[in-house]
Amino acid sequence: MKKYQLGEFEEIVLLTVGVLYDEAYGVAIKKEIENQLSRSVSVGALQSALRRMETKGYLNSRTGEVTSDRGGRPKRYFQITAQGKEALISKREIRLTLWNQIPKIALEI
Amino acid sequence: MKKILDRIFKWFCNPDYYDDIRGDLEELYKEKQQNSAKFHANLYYLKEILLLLRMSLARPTLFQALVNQQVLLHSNFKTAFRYMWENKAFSFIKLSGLSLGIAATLVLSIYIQQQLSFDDFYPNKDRIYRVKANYLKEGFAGVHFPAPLAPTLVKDFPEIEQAGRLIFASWLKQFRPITQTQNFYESKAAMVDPELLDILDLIIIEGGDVAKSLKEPRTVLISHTKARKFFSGTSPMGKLLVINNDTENPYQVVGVFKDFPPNSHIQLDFMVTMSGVEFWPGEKTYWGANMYSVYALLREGVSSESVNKKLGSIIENYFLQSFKEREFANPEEIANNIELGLQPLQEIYLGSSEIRDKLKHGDQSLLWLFGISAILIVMIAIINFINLSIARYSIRLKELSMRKILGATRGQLIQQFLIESLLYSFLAVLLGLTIAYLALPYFGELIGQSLIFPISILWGIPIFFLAILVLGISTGTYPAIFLSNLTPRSQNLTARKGNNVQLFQRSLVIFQFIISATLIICTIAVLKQTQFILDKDIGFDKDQIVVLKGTNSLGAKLHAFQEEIEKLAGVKEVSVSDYLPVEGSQRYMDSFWEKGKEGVEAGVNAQIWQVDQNYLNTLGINIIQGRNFAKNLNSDSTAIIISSALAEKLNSTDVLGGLITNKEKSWRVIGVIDDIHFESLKNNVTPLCLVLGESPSMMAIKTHSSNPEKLIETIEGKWAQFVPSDQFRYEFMDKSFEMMHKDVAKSGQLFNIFSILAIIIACLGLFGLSAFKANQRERELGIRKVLGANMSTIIYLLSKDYIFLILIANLIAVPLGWYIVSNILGSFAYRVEIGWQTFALAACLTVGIAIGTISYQSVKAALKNPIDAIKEV
Repeated sequence: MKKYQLGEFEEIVLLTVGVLYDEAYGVAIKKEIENQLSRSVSVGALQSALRRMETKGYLNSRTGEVTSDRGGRPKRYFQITAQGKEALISKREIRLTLWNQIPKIALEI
Repeated sequence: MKKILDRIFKWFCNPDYYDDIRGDLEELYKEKQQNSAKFHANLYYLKEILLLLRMSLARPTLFQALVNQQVLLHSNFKTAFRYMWENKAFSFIKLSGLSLGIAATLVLSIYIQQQLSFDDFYPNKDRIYRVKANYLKEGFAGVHFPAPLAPTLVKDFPEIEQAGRLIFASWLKQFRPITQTQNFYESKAAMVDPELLDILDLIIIEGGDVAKSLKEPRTVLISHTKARKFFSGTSPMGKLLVINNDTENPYQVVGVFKDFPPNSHIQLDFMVTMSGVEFWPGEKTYWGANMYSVYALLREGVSSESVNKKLGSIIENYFLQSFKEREFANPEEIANNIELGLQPLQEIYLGSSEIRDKLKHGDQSLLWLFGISAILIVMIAIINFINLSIARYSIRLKELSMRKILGATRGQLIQQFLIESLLYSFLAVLLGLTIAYLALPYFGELIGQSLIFPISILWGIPIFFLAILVLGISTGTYPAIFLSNLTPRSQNLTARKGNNVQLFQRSLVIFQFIISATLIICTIAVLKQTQFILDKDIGFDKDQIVVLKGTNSLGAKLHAFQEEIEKLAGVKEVSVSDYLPVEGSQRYMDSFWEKGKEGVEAGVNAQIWQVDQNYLNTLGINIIQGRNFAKNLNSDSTAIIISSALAEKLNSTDVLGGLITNKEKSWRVIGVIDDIHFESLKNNVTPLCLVLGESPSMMAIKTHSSNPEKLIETIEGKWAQFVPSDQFRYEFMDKSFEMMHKDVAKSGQLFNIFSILAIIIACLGLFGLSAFKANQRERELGIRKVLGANMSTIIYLLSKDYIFLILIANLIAVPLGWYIVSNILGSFAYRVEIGWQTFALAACLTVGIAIGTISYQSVKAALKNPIDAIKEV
């Protein structure tokens, strides 16, 4: 269980990168999270999560094209690695196991 | 705004991440800009940037640098010390200039602070006021009022809690406990209303509620010092004091007060009660005699302005009434000319330039001058330091290049230089403090005021550190930026470094010498003025006159004593009069008219002095018209001799032989004499008239003895025969005259000191600079010598730049100095003319001193064997 360390925000980011698949760069990820979860995300929080997961090996990145509205700076696209996939799966499984163990009565509030 | 934020982010962010994050930010910013106002976009941007400043995105070296800092600091200190040690002479010049500047500034600021702190210790200081009267037409103010003013103020104005009179009683001189026969001579006595003690709220050592005890007639308070002197060891409470030998009416001591601190404008040892005292019957209700200073205590929360506005009613109800009763020609006009006002206690010492009240006052303009000098001196010192630091840069080129090549960043180099200058300034402040501490007593003696080094004041410590920091940064910044900016390549090209630096150095030198030259001009002017005053024809001969004091103790034996003295060898003439033209003798002011014009014209204010027949001869006063008082001529008891200023003011063509009057008495004018300057020459001469009369407490003896000490001994012997109970006290009149003008002499001396300091510091800088220049051009000079240049050419080569600079500085200093000098001398009624010679002298002095400073180095360079300069490569 300790094998895959993934915080709650990191998990969301990782999932969103997956959702966007080929289009996952900073601004797109930010907007996607903001739309789907209706919460605001700062560039700082997002970027620091991305870089952290990159060093952990859950994400890969490549430099993309340069566009004029970016002030001549390239995009950086992120992609989930195999390790990232495993981390997500293990996370989901832990959740499921726990879900299944909840007695029905406990949720009848 | 955005640009600054970008810079911060760029500096902070890990360069690996930087590009694409910046891209994202840019994209978001553009979008935001389209949807909302620029301000909101910027705000949003700021928020994002701030949230981006997190450890995981930071440049890795950012924190590493912090860790390395300590090691760096250590090494920086080490190199700084090494440099200091290696170039001892140079470091000494740098340090001494800075610490001298600091010391001078420190001493000056302590003095200024002390002057500003006058009267700040009275518990009610914010509510105590002195009443003053502005005479609108004449443009001066008076602080002496009739006796009924104080009680009337309290009666008429509910805002005034207390009011009390004070009169400095110069006639109360001889004091002794009733049990003794030997008198003490004391000069600091006053008569006061009991209310004054409530107002001033002095610290009472013995006696408790002294204001209450003073309500009893014939009571007196004495200071702690005098209590010990008079009643050594025993309590003075209830003891009796005899004043002026009046054994019939002794005064009872009812309290002892702690001595007035030196920063009080009131300085007293004896306070005699006014209760039950009237100098003549009916004085307490008479509004026609201005004698007393009146102090008032306002109630809490009352502003002086509101009271000032109402004080006009006093003039209307009482003064005008009195003018009418005394049948003045146009009482309304006189009344309208007077405006009463309250002067805050703490303004009395410094803010009384228009008031003639015989108190010791500080000079506000002098304080300003001192303050400015202090700032200028510190500026010279800092400039020096900067100049010398830059001058040495070539020596440090190798070190700098090495550091750069090994990867030192610019910031690290700047840091190194700042640390170095911080170290210097730390040492300089320490040294400066020590010098100031040691010099303070001498300075205090010079200005005649005891100054206390504020070592115990707590805020001294933070200020000390702040001073180091400010000094270090202000002296270190330019050299640091300049030196760190050199690239290793330009450093290898050595000293041929840009015109920029030269221009900077030159303007600094010019600036320094402007200050020095200006100070020198001021000094010369003030010294000239002092000499002018001491040499001015003052209308009497002050030399070789001995003044005996307290001769009233002789009583009936006075004339016998006078005859004895006249018989002595070496004595020319003896005159008895309290009214002598030096400080510390009696004065009496009155108004005079030509007979018949009183009530028609405004009177002329003049001093009227009681003298004897020998007075004019003893003091060597010249009679212009008419004659001296004659002995044994009864009609001369109503004769008067007037000064030419009075004759002029009386506006009469033929005053000699005419009658003049003060409305009570008339005199016939028998002579006109030269004006006598008996006051400080800051003021115009006051008109004067002399009448015959007994005023027995001083005796002026004109001598022509070659051995004055011997003569005085003889006189003392005679004195002891006549009055064994009293001390023999005497003064030389020329010394008293000098004392009268000592404030002028004092400011002359002070300027002298400051300008010497300024020029020493400036020359230290010049010395260092020229030493450096000579060193730099060593090889060039060597080659010139080999090619046949002689010594004078070389000296000329090395000096001409600086001489030119100093001449420019002098050109600028001339109008500046002229302006300041005319301001200083403006306060004198009689002033010396400052011609071009003064400015020329100042220029010659600065150039001369500068040449002297530079030539040491140039001669040394010129004398050097050229081979030594050329051979080493």
